[in-house]
Amino acid sequence: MVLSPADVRKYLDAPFPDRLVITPILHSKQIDERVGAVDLRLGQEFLTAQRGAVPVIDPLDGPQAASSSERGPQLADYLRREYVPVGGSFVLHPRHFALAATLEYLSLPPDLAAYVIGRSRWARVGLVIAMATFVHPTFKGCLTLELQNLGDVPLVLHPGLRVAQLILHSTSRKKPSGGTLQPKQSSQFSCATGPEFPMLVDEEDRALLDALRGKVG
Amino acid sequence: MGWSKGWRNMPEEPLGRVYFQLQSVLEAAEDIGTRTQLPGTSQLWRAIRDATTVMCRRVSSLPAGSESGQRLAARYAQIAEVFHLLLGFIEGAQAHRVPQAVVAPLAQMVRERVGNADVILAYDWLPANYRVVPDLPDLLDAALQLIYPPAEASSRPSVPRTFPILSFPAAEKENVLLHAVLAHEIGHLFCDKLGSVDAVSAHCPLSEEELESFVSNEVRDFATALAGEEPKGEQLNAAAMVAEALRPSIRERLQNESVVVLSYWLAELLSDAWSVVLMGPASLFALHALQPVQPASDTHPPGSVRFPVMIQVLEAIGFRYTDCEGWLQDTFSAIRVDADKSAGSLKRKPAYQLAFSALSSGQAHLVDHVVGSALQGTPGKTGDALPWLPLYESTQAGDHPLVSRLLNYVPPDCTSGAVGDDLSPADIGSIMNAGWIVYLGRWAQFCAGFGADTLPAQFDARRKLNRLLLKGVELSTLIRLGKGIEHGPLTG
Repeated sequence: MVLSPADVRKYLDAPFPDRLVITPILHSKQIDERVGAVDLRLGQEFLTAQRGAVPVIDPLDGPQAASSSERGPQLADYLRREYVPVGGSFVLHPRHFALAATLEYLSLPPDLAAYVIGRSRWARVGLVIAMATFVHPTFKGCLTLELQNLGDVPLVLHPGLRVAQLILHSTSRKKPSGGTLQPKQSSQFSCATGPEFPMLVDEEDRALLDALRGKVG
Repeated sequence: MGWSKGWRNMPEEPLGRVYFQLQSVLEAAEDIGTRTQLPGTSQLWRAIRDATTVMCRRVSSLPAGSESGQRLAARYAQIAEVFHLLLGFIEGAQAHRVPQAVVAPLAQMVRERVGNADVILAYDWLPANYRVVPDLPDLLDAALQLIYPPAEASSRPSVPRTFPILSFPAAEKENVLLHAVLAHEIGHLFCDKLGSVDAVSAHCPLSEEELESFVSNEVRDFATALAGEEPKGEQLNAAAMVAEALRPSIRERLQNESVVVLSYWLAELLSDAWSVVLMGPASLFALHALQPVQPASDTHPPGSVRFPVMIQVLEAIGFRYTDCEGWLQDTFSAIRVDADKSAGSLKRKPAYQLAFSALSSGQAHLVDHVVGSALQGTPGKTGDALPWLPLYESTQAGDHPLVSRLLNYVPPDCTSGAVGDDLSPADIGSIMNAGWIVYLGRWAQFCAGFGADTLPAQFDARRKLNRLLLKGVELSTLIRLGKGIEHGPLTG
């Protein structure tokens, strides 16, 4: 069930660990009074693709074949981290891809999930902000946004612009029995404070796929 | 400035070289000047820029090849180096990842005791160590006196009464929690001001008996080495006679070495004691996290000495870790275990053992000296002398929402759950202060929450925690800067 504005505010004021955290909410208008969606702003860190840095991204072979506990050095070469200060700007050229993060840090209680989608005004100029849109219960961190400019002209983006919105809905999951500590985080991107490098294959999948490749090849 | 002097086309010429050096200082200053200045650094930055401009003007008016010009060039070249260094510190203090909110409480503590600190510049430097760099403000003063002779004293730019610069390693730039080690560096400055090493060393005499024992051992070993393998009786006597003749010089060497080691160790222990006074158990945890097992060295005592002294100071100021929650007691126990691992390093040198024995006899006086100095003038107001104590106690009582947020892996923030609330910068500073000081004591619990049972995983957990703290600082700064967001870039 999609949350109403009143429900959103109730969750924002709830005690831990049942609290929905979206911080900071710089203006009350970020909560849409019609549907309860919360506008999210563009953060200050970007991961931009360096096209000539790697020939290919293959999660099973080559430099990107990093284990789940480390980052392949070539992947770090492919994506370069940039920081844009307040008042600065980031230019996304046509057809270019970059990872960004929301300014807001989110923490979802166990009984809420969400979808992050782009705002229509930005979609109309060709900005795609997310491809992996589901935000699972107990998620904590800044949302990584997958930015792509599908338009024909460069887009100048400023940290702080409201480029996305979060649609919250309740789940049937039961709340934990109490205590201040959340259960151990299983997400590979837990508590991210900026865009995170992708971890393409985890250990279990790698073992399986390597085994399959061995059988086939 | 004209280009008529000719030497500008000849970079080998000293005046030309120094002119380019000064120009590079100006370029660096201009580059830094385009970024957001932190309080205290802008005045310093302006002084450097203006003084460099004056030097450039003077150099450009000198004829090439003049002897006075050569002398001036040499002097200005050195000043340019100092200015580059200072600009580097300013740049480091500006970097968004430098936790100024962490440094600000330290500055306040220092102002209350040292009384002449306007700003602390914390810079990430190459050496992998935390240290205090006390000389640069004096160098700046000296440089400005050279640039502006007495006749031009009125033109001299004013500079802040900068506090000695604290340096932390580049690799730990984002490791906010480890910056509690900076309190130890401030302790060094307090000790210098109070003359603590001399005051305490009078109560740490070397043991004559132990010294003689070590000397005799060395004399015997020397005689054995002289005698060689399978010595005959006459050779033995001769070797013993020669070795005995060297006894006075061996004694003198060993005594001098022990005194030097003792003075270094005293300085470190006194600074450790002050760090506990300034920051409570957080400093102990941070030091332990920085280097869990610390062997003895010529300049630093082993952890088996440092950590117990710090715990003793905590107890002297009324902190009873045995009254704390179980997880905190476990942390102290872990520190004691690691401390014991370094005890064996005392045997590496006789000087270490002699210094250790001397320290043991004066340890109580060391603790009394620091605690007495800290509480001086604040009878019955321990909280004034120990800024962390009230915060710690209220947090232990559950009064600080910040800790609750961090334990739930949410960064500190300006809002208290309501939408659009603002906090003043002072509120933000005090929240960060409370959280920073107190939360350092929650490392173990936080790491456990992340399932960080192994050492590499603990580092990862600490990195996450550091990022949460820094994120909170960033957001707080952003909100302060974003006042009037209706008309600023934060609308869309």
